[in-house]
Amino acid sequence: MDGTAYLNLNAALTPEQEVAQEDQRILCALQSGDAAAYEKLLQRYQNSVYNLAWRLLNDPSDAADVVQEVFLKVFRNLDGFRGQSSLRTWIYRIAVNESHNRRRWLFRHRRGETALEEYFDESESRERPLVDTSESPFDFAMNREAQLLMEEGLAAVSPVFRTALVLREVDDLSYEEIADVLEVSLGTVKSRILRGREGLRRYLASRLDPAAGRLQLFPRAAK
Amino acid sequence: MNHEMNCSRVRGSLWEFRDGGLQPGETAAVNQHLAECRECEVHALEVKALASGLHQLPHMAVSPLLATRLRVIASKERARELYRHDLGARFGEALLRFRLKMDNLVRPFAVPATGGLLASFFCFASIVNALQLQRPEWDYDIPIGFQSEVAINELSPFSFGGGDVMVQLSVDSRGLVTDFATPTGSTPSHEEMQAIGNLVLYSTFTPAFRLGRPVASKRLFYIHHISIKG
Repeated sequence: MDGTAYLNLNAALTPEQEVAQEDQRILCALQSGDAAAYEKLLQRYQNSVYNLAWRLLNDPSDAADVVQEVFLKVFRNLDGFRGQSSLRTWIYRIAVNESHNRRRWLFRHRRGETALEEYFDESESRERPLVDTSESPFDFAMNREAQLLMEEGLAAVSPVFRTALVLREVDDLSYEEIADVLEVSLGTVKSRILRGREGLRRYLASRLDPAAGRLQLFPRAAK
Repeated sequence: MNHEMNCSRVRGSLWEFRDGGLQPGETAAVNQHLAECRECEVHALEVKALASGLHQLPHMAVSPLLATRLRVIASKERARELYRHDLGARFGEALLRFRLKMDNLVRPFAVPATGGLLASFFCFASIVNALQLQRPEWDYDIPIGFQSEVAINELSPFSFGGGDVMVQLSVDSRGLVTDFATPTGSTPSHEEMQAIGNLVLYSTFTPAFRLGRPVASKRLFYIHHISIKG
């Protein structure tokens, strides 16, 4: 080898490159007013944005409102999107900002209220995904309890740290992408994630074994 | 590079270890330490449990109702975007808004103005009989410019040898003389009447006009001699 790098045009694209390419195609189609692109964008990101908003707000109806606001802003600001970040991080940034705005608004206006959805089994079944029936009732109960505990713990973590933690652990964003979404430095992202994890660990430890302060939760193998 | 690990350093890097973010040498050192230290191994299991628990959280999906709402938003925003780029539609919209504003501006005056007009009509109709208005004398009015009298177009080459005489000519709408007569009081002789007849017969006339149309009419002509001496 003489040390010269050759561009291999036939090389297969990495999953990240494929995602970026597909996002670019959707973006171009959106900017030209293609109806199918609007549908494709929704199919691609509506669940992720909803999931993120749910995790940050812990309320399905607030998450639904935030999702609508997010996509309204996305569609209205398509012309202003210069491609300095990826489409995914741009949408996630809007979602995080909208969720924070929503939480601030809720803090000011709805501190004493309780969401109606909590009392309706219908909404529960509509919003929650279907449960895998291959689980035994015991496994289901255990997993469900662990899941509820995890959700409680996540909700107890400070919103700033929770946002970074959810983006990292639930949405699988890289540190760089999270820094882009939150518009903070890489060091701050790592610090926030670390503190989020520590907060979650402490909450779970106090719930599971208050005396020992030690977490005894062991995961069941995923099917 | 020395990768010797103590417990505090291992516990601080367990998440990075789980994420695969450590250097190969550090990873091996952590693995070795975990194999030897029971306490740190428990910490590693905690990290694994937490990470696994977070990953196993159910991924929330939008409800059908919310999905429909999102599609409605997308459809509206697309229509709005297309409209924004269509100059004709924007001009039409601006015109429509201007008309609406003008309409709204004039609307408060419309009912009072119509009411006032109707009230004035009603009042005038109720008092018009009591006004005793004088009818103008239209019958004696002579229209000017709408009619013309018979005129001589070209005089006959035959001269009239008699004295001064007044003749009344009846000329039809084509300018032809249908009759002539001398007014009562003058008594021309038979020869004079023949000479008048020749004069009239070989002269041409322009008919009279009423409201732009040629009509039959009568006119008096006075025939007299002008003697030029010298």
